[in-house]
Amino acid sequence: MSYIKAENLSIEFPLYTNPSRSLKGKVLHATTGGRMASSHGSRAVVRAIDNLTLNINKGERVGLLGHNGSGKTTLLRVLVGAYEPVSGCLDVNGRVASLLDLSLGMDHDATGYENIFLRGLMMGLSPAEIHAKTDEIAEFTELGEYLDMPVRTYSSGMQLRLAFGVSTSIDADILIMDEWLSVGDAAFSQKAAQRLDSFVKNASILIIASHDMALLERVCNRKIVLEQGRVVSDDYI
Amino acid sequence: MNQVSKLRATFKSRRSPFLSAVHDIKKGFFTYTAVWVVLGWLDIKQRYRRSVLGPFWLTISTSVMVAALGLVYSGLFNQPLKDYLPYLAVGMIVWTLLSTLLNEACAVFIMAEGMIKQVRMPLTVHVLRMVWRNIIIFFHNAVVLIFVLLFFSRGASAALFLIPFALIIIALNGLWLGLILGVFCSRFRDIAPIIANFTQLVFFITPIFWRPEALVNRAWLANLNPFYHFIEIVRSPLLQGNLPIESWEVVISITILLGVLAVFVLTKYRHRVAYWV
Repeated sequence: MSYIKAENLSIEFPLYTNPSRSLKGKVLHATTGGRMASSHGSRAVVRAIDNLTLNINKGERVGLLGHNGSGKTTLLRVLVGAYEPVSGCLDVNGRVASLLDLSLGMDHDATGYENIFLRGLMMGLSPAEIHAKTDEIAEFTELGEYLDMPVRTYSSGMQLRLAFGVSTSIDADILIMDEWLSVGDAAFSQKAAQRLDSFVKNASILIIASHDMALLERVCNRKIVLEQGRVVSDDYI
Repeated sequence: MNQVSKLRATFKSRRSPFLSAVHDIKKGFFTYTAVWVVLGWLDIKQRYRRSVLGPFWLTISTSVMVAALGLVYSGLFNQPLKDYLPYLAVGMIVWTLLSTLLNEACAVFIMAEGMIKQVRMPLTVHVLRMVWRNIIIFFHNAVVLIFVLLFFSRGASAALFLIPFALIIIALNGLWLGLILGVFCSRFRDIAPIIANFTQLVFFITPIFWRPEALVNRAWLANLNPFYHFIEIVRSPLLQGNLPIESWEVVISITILLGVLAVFVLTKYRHRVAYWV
């Protein structure tokens, strides 16, 4: 049973200006009793997520909306498990797959096949699972012999196909995405859309951050609007 | 879903920090073995790419260094080349491993920023990748050792069986150092250059190209130097067939101490690293 439960979740980013990030700053601060380096004493923080409480249950397709800097991406990263909450608590139950950055784990000097393996590993697949999926991924990307060549030689559209193919090949309970991906030329992007749809259908929870209202209305059944790290509206559509 | 049970990313943020730290190390080691092994190999492969010799460049530079220093210093110190060259070669090769472990420990998390911020993965994985990579490089350098020992051999001894253990314990210390320094260096960016300067100094004050006996009544200078003992656990069985008990005692104590410290640091700061890198 997959669910996500967040209670009074807060995320704060420390702002390290050069003085406090360096050891010298700390030492100066200590030796001068804070007189000389008084400005380093209080550390500035940015509160990206502010006391957020959220329950997401099985079957929900959540669209995250909000201005730039409203905390969407940060929230996604917290849900993926990269950032640990500064305060509050978070329970995530289920296998999480994240599509935050297509270039994760890509090595441009390695061949397409090697990159399938690498990216699969990063996304949490075991070597055996990756080997089982490689053919299917290779077929989907339509890259053919290029898969034996270094990714460096690929066009950006080809790189996207590869990354997209691997990312959408894993079976996840909870799917966390930043923006819908638009991939490659017209013919391929249709194929990609189909694959994405079935990928999303198989997951029991989807959370997607996007600015594209039309898309969110098509895919999601719940809409959450964030502003300054707080939920300002939460509607089921 | 059962087949992937190990990566069911079920997590709760309420677990005690100490348990999370221990869990991080345990999971990094066993559950994520494939990840660090593959990434470490990839780092090596990257050095081979578009280069005929790849990591063997390191072997070459080590052998040139050993040969040149050997010729000059065996003359300076008035020592027979057949004794001095193996001594220098073993010392240099172990030192190269120790010093790169120490220096690369500083950058483990900073280099892995992209991964740390996007996927949930034990921090230990990034450290093990670095240690594993350097162990592979060590074996590249060990080729020089084989040649030196072949030509200047003094016969094998039973103490040789300790060498694999010496390597394992060096690797373990690399892991602890990576966890400790990795965390602090991602917070304070100027620790890395301090460590770099420090290693340069240590190279000269450690008995690598000179012998501790030469210190006569200041031998404590060598004995107090932990790097000396780390080198000695490899060099002594290899060259003299001795079992350096005192050095092993020092090394084991340091390993335990660093291990405790690493768990402590991880307990206290593990959850902050993603914010710092």
